[in-house]
Amino acid sequence: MTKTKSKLIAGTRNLNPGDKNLLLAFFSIAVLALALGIVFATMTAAGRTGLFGIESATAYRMLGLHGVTIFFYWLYFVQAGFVLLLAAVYTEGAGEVALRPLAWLGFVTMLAGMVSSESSYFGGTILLYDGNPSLLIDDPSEGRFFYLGYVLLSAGLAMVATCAIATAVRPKFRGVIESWTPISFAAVAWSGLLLVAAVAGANAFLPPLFWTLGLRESVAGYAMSWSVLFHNMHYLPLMATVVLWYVLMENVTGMQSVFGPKFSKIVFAIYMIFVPPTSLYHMFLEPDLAEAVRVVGSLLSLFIAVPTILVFVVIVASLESYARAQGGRGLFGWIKLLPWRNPVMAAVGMAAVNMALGGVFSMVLIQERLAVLLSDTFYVPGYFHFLTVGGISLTFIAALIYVIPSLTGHRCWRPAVLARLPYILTIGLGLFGAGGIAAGYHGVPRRIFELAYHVDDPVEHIDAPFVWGTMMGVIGAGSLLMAAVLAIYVYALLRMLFSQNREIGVDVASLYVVSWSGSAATRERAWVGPLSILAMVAAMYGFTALSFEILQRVPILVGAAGH
Amino acid sequence: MAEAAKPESRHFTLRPGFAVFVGLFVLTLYFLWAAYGAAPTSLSFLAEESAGPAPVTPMAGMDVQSASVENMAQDGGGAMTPDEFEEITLKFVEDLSLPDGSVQPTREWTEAMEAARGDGAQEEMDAAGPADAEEPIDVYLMAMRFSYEPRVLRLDRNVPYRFRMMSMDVNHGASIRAGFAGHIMRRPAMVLTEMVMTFSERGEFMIYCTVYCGAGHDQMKGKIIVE
Repeated sequence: MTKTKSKLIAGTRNLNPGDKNLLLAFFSIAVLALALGIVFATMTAAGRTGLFGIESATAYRMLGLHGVTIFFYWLYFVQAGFVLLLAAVYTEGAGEVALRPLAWLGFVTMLAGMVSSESSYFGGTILLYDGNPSLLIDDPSEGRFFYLGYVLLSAGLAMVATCAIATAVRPKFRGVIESWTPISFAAVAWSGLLLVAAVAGANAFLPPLFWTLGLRESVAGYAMSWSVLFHNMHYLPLMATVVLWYVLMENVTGMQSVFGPKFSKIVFAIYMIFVPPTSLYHMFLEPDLAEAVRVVGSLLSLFIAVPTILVFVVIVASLESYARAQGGRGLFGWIKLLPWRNPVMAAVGMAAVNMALGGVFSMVLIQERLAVLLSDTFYVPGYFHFLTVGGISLTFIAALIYVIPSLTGHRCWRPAVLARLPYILTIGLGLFGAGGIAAGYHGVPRRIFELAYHVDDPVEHIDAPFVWGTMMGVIGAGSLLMAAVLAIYVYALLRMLFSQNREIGVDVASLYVVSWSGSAATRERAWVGPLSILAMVAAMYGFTALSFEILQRVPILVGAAGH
Repeated sequence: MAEAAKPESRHFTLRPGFAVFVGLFVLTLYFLWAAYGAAPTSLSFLAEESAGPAPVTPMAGMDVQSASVENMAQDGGGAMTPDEFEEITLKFVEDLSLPDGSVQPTREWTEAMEAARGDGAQEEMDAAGPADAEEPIDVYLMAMRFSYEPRVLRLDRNVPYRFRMMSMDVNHGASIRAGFAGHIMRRPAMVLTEMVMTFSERGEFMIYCTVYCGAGHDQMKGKIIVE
């Protein structure tokens, strides 16, 4: 067992108590949101698969709460904590969070937002997480706490992002440093995108909030505002994930990017350039979107995978290069040298696999012609859970396992158990994703609880295909397996946060790591990264071609008036 | 930060230029799109005639702003208001209902309605729609919480139908399960859209809502019988 020389652990432990309390506040609420989100997800899955009867209105409320809690509050509280932490630890000369009172105000504002959003469901709102205001025509007031929550979240995020930027910028202004490390740079870029998301959030949610308060007559263009916001919301946690991969791999192996810090900064900057203009593909089913816009939207969307692929190649090539310097041989043999018994390594490894799977299927959906086949079907949750659960959430959990004990002084709970969970989670995801994607190809809608569509009238009666129910069973089994694994993770994180017994578990600084610092075999090849991308792109070709072939066999000719 | 090795001493797989090349490799997906006729090029050798998006056309004169509460506040202001659409749809159902309750659209009814309207709107729509030899037969489909009207349509195979659709309250979907896949369509509230569809196989196809519209969303379905 090698003692770690982790900069992340050392830097976190060296933070002052005020900063530690601030970060623990963000991470505690993030874990609470994750726990709630899992409960709501379990209820949703059970209702959808018929495991137990659940009234339709309640089922949709559970689905709405699941989306709101996970997509907004888990992912944004945890990001807020990490962006502040990385800015403070990785900016030379920073040492602490700048403008801490503002960061606390941001925390309180975000928490108020969470309470407001969640309470709106107990007040009877019928909105799902996308907050489509057209659903509120009968009683707009049902949505006021829902939108208020999102507006408060946006405001709180803006404050936190400002603090993170100030933390990184202050040492430069003071002349303590000349340039940022790649991680400081990434934290600033990430904060910049958080600010963009906050502005987009205010733009999207203030009009419906005013409408529900009776302060304006109508809400125009919500679909477009939501799409712009939602797109940023996709890629913020994605960028956060690859930044954390970079940080965590440095910390558990000692490797540095063999491409140099400047290249890493360029790659992180690409997110800023590529993310905002590629939001059109969320609107491909909208009937008023011009054909030219659809085509341009598809073409732009091709670029969205580029920065994530680049970071993946940088990390994998660097790991391979360092492992070869340690004697790693064979095309894949070096992978065995990685510290897989470390729960962080296992989680990041499987997160990369899941992210690749999600990437393959997401690239099918960016083609506007295929929206008519797959959008609004279960294909969408089928693919995005690979990203949000298997890639993004798993990475955040891995980082929390590393960081929370460093903040609390507690130990890491059962690392041997935690190191096995990512594989079980991936099995659950595989079932959920395979079932969901197959269901999508069969036209199963994504937000339906009663799939039988039964009516007694013999003329009106038409059965939903039997296979729909079968696929729901597979999806349900996968959901419950995922929920069980995530519940164990939550339990472990709660132990690390609040346990009274500090002697149970393993000192996080003593988790199994390798120490490869300073020795990269740059004269040797590093093919695994490029070959992985080749395999991924080949899979994209395969599933895109499959989708076109299925589309061509749907017995409806559209616009073929002369036949 | 460890010193990065000088480029000349590195294996080419560790050079930034190669990493960028790998990163951009995903863009080659464009060529597959082009092969299926889904990208601006003439290389569509894998495309069949039926491939392609649903060219949904908002009715002439309508200011379409999808998924907007503003739409619900408007009273039309274009080629057809929601009230007019409801009126003509109910007439469509009343005139063309069969004894079993299903509705069978006919060319005679379409021509009679065009003649009766005589307000120029049809010419505008024709100009916007496909200009093939055989004029499509009109089908009116109204979506509302939580049903369609008419509930059952009886259509002929290989005959083009111009579906005129409107969601009367909130946003809905009017997707059709045909073959073993779905043909997914969104229908924003209070926006009249039209689309010409030809069914090439006989069978019973389910129409179902794929846009969450409230607690009764999963009860919302209809049926198309193609004979």
